[in-house]
Amino acid sequence: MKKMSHLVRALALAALIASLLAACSGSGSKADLPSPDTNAPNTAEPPAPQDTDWPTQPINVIVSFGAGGDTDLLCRKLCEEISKDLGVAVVCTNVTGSSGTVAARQVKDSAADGYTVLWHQSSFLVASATGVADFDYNDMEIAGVAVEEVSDCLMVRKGAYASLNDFIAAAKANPGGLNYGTSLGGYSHMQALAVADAFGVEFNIADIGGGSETIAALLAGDIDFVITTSNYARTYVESGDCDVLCIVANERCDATPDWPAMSEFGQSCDITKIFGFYMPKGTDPAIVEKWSAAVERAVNSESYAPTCEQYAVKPAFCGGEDAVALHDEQYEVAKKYAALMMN
Amino acid sequence: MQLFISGLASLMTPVILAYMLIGIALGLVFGAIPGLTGTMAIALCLPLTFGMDSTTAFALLIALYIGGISGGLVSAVLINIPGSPSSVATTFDGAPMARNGQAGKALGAGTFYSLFGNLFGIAIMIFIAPFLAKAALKFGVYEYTALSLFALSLVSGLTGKSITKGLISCAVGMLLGCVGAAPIDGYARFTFGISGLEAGFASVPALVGLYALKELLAEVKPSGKVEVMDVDTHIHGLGFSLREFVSQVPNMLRSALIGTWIGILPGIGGATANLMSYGIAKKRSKHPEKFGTGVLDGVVASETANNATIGGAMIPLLTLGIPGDAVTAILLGTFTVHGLQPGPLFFSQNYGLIYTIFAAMVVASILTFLVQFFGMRGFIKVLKLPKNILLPVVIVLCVIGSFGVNNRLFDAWVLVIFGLTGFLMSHFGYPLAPVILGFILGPITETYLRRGLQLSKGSFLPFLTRPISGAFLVLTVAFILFSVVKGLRTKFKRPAE
Amino acid sequence: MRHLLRQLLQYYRDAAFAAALFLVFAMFLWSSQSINVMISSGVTARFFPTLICSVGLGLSAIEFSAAFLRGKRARRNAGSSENEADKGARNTAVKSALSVLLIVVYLVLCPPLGFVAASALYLFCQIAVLTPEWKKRWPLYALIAAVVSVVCYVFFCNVFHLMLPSGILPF
Repeated sequence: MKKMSHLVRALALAALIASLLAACSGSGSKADLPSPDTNAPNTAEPPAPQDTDWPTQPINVIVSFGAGGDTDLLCRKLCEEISKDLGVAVVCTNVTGSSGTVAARQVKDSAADGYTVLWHQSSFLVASATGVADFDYNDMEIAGVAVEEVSDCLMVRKGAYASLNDFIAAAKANPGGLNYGTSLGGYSHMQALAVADAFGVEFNIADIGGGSETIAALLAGDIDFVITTSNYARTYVESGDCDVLCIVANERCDATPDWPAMSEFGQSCDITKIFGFYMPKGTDPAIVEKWSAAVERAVNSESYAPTCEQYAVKPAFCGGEDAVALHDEQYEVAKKYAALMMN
Repeated sequence: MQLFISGLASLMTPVILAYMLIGIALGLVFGAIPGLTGTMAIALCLPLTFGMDSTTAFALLIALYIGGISGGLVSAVLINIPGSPSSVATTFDGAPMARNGQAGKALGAGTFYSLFGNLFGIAIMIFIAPFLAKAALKFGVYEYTALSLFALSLVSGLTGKSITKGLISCAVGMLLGCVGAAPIDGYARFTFGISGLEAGFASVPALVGLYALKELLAEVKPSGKVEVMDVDTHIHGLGFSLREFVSQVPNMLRSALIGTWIGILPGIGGATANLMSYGIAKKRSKHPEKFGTGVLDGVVASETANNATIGGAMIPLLTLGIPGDAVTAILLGTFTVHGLQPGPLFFSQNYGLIYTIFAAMVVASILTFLVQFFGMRGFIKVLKLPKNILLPVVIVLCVIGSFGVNNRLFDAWVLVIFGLTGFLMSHFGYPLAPVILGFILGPITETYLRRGLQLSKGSFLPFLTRPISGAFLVLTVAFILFSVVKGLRTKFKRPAE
Repeated sequence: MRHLLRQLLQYYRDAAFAAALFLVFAMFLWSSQSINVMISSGVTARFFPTLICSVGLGLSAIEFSAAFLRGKRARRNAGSSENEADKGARNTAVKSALSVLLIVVYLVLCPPLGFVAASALYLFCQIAVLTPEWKKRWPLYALIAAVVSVVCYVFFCNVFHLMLPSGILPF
């Protein structure tokens, strides 16, 4: 019994402390930035030009791909800037699955109060086009296209082909013979189809998985080429394991000036990878506007520039009507390739 | 050697050591609480590392990684609920040991062999990483298929008395693994319109749920006083004797090798390693029928393997820039955030950082061992807590953990669904281990099989003609035949019951 | 009649469960025929589920017949030895069902009431169910329930920004 009264006393003390903590951090916690001073008082924004006092609590950005990947880090770094701008914590969480469809659906179905935002990329369009997602960007509000990736490159094992022309010739001589590894139904699947369509060849496209798995398969000799991000490719070219035959884009990339663009071989590329934010449909336009403005400032800020360089993306902010038009255009292209994906 | 020492020296600042200790403690806590995992702790701490310098950042993340994997042992032994997927097999013998009054031995052994597994994996990583990485590249989709079929065949050793029930359990597990987006095609299977199931059942709530509810309901008693287990909290040293250590050496080395190798292979994770190691240990043992009743071998096999995967998973990351699991994927991202790009040249261009990472791993392993060793006596006291209070609290923590997977409450429902399934099945005598094996390995086998067929354009030949793949397939068939023959032999030895 | 039912339940429980599994496999087999596929040639997304369900059907049929025969034999041998432990068993069954119901209610109440309130309620009720003499120390249990809930919420929300549902709480 004595033990019990000790226990009761300990619990009561704990309860007191907990409630004190809760009270202190109650008002301040939700406005915290992820930094050591967790008991700072609420730093509410002074009334902004737009007629809304959103945000007054942390914003949750749901990233459609896994933690640590390109998509994820591009977002996290951007959100750091946005957080400083808007004055509230912007917390990134990852929800993975179905090329980002799971995350998209989760945000689509959340409350349209501006506190849940989706960060997604062009694979959204592909998933909608193939039907893996039974909804598309029109079922959400586009809250700002942030960056554009036009630096993905076509890579082969060192010495396999002297140039893209040799590669295409080999593909023409052997229809369906060259193996390509990708995550089926994703953006890089579409990239391979774009290349095949442009040059009039046929590849054997097999599912291998994500970027790193396809590179492993390339090095192992199971597949003949990959289309991957240039920061990834750079390391394998420098180590002498691989060659880059071209950039799957219409012009050379500043970060990699030595690599020729696809257009230099006579064909143009009609796809581009865009990354952007989406909010649930019906969100107050003033909130969407305010968020988009913050995105634009963050994307063009000096502190974000090194991140862009690292991941070889271009800041390419586009909002409102322009963003919708860009999506419409890319969606048409995606639909064309989606038809080729289903056999 | 010089580099290692300087790497070690750079860690020996109070700030970094403090961060490491916090990381280990946090990792252990997250690993120990069923539903929360070390991976989650790392993902949650990731933003904190952005502002740190690279040494501190990696020291912290590695400490979390090692603590997280080692922590699962505690709850597996004490409450028969695996703290994380990599400690599932520890419950098979660790929990019975606790019930037999040998909790101290189980914890002590688990702690010691975790340390051994860690150091073994790290040693392999330091000394033969580049060579092994090249060897790992030889494992293409065909080899992965064969390997997962081999791992699946180990189910025959985990079925207990009734092979039929064991195989049904495995089928149930595989079927549950099919729910969600189909591999390759991406369309949803068996979601019956529930959008939350699009990505399938999240594996942590599923695995934890299988055990958690069963434990809770086992506490339901019709009447009478609440039982408190009579536990001897006095442990001598590590709890097991030198003679026992010597007898475990082959098991220890084999499990460490299995764990390291599985860790090296990207795409197959720690959850598989501990199950495979346990299954093989049981098959190779002279007294397989004792497994499951509380033998040291089981704990040794499981805990050595799961910690050895850490060193293994770092190998493809550091030598080729290819992450081996979710945690190393986050580490890869951390490298890029700090302006580094892992790839084939990474090793030779960043000796300083690499050796600091090696040193951090060694230090973290030792610190984890010390923390667990001194904490053991405290951990055992948990057994004295009245279960009628402890288990409901554990359930609440499981719910938090499930919520943390994807930030939605739906995953907590997964906990309940699997909980009911686990309870019903074990109530009617169906073993749970095959369910887990089927749930994890079913989708993996299907994915790699179909990928292989895509590459070979529909032909099954490469699976047999490629040497490694063929070898594993032969082993698989051999294991199955062996078990069948053994089962038939025992059946005919004894007259039908 | 009730006597017969109870007997059937006692001896054929295993067989009934096996039959239930059979039905589950059958249902999934039927469902797997309508799975959407992107690649319709060769081993499709339907192959594995179909295979697993078919094997499951076969196995559960085997198990059903084995369990049925076991039950028949046990019934024949046991004669009329009814156990009085039935009453205790019924009490356990009710409490187990109640526990499961509690968790379900807990999850349902989480979004509207918020994590802290729902967890505190759940903890208190669940401890009560597990403790036959809960009335003796119910203030202690209520305190534990409240403290654990608040501590968890504060820890995970503030330190880790894990957005647990806040529900009715002002923060």
